Amino acid sequence: MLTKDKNDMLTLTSAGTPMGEMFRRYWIPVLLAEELPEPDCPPVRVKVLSERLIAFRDTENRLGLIDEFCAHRGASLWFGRNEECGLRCPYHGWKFDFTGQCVEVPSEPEESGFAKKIKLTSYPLIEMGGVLWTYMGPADQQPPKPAYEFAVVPDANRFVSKRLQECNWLQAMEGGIDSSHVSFLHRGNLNSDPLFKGAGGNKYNLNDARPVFEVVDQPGGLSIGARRLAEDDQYYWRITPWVMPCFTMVPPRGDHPMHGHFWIPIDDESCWAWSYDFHPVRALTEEERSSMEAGMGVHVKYVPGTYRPLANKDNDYLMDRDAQRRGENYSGIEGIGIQDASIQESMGPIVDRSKENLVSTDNGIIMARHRLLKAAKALADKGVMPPGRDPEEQAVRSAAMLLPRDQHFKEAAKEAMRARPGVPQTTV
Amino acid sequence: MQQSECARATTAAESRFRLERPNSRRRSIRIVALDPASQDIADNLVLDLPNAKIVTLPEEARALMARPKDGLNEKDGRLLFDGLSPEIRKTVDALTEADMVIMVVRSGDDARASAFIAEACWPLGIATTGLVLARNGDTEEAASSDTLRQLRPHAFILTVAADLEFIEALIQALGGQGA
Repeated sequence: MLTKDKNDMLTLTSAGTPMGEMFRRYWIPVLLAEELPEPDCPPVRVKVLSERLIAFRDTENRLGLIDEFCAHRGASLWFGRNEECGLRCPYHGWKFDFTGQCVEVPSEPEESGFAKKIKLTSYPLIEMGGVLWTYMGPADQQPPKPAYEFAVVPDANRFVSKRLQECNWLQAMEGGIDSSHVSFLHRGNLNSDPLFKGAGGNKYNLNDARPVFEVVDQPGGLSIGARRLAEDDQYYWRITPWVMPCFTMVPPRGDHPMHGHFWIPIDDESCWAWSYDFHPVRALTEEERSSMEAGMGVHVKYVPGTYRPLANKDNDYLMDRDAQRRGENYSGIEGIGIQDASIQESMGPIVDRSKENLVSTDNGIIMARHRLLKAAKALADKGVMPPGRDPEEQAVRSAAMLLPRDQHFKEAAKEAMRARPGVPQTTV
Repeated sequence: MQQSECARATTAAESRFRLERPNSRRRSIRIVALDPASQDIADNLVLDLPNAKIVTLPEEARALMARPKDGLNEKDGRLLFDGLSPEIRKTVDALTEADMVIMVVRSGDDARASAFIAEACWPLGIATTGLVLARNGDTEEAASSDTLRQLRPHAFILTVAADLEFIEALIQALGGQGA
């Protein structure tokens, strides 16, 4: 359990808060590249870490992420005309370039230099791996570009989606660290979802609902090993890397693409749950890609024209008690992503952690909270950069393996957990 | 359009109506260092929990626990805890009155006493947790150590921590709730 003070420190991410300042020391995903498909396309609203911004791709393909509101009288630049290397407010024609610099104030003579004195807040916005990433911290502390493996493999090897989740980022991310819930909440999907089924390791999840967790501190975050009983005096290990502040990768199943998540705060009561699938050594098949586009695996179906899941709290997540009774799924909710979202949103906008009763399988969560608190405090008090910014710390993989019972997972999985180009994942 | 039940239930306004009454009995925790060389870990913990106590293993108990089959009777592969010396009996009672026993040890130190503790605790439904403090913060080394190997079969939770603060945070997280 956590006191209110510690809960606030972990969950609140607006500017000036300890966790907000920590998030601002990383490159974080904010848009899919498809949302700004071409130069001079319509601008897109972006709300991230409780800041309202507007994103656009200018005439010369430069990406801008600037304050949403015109410096004149606060009109939203969502209405802006994206043309001739800038975003022009349609109210009085003020124009801003991709850096937020005002380049034209039509009512003032150019010689007055008035425009030069006007500059909106702006953040760098870069494109990698089908995703647009931003960095919102001090310029002199900007880390190297993201090095997560999914973002650097060829486009054909990858699929990325995002979905709106209507709760605080942390309770969403904690679900990603706790793999014990798979044996319950996602039980129905292991043998039916085309992106999960058929893997040799699935039977261990289904036969042993009491995994034992071993958690090891790592430079960039944690390695979380969950072991389940297997035959011939072995354990079936599923090893999840967690890279601070919010990156995880689910251990692989068979030769299915590997997948994982980021959870990026929109504000304190909502977040984007980013989901990626990639295969390290081959292109995704037609069937895999169309399954992902259809909302299978960790992806979801949407309300048309939005990134809000079709099954959401406004329709009780399309709960089907008959399907639950028939054993088609465990909770009556269809789809792995929505199974997670429904449970995590039900905890409330920001879950009150003072009433928890944590158990052995929460070890990874306890450790992650400790690492986050420690890093946020070190940054706030002493200016120490948080872990997880280094490319080497980001270029990690998850792994699944069978090991003799007396063998350490950390030793056996050391190479398997490094992203190595051209080398397949370690899986069962 | 009428708001769905889930939509209404998850609002901040509805959160005000959650019950404020305790939903559990406070867990009592015992913390024990498995090796004399690791005793400083237990002794230096800063805890704000009235329900957490440190149990120090007497030398006699530690020696026995490291080689339980030398000094205890067995039946069907299980150790029998009858006929223990008063000193060891007292130690076993102190551990088994708890809901959870946390075993702490530094990597490189002897964790074999964990076998005895698990044998005493598990039949009574008492969970055991193993915490290995990495020597000089080297978690890679600790994760491959004999210490962890000795501890693994006897703990429901195993963690390799780089610093003492995590051990305090874990104990606080597991023991803090309840009336």
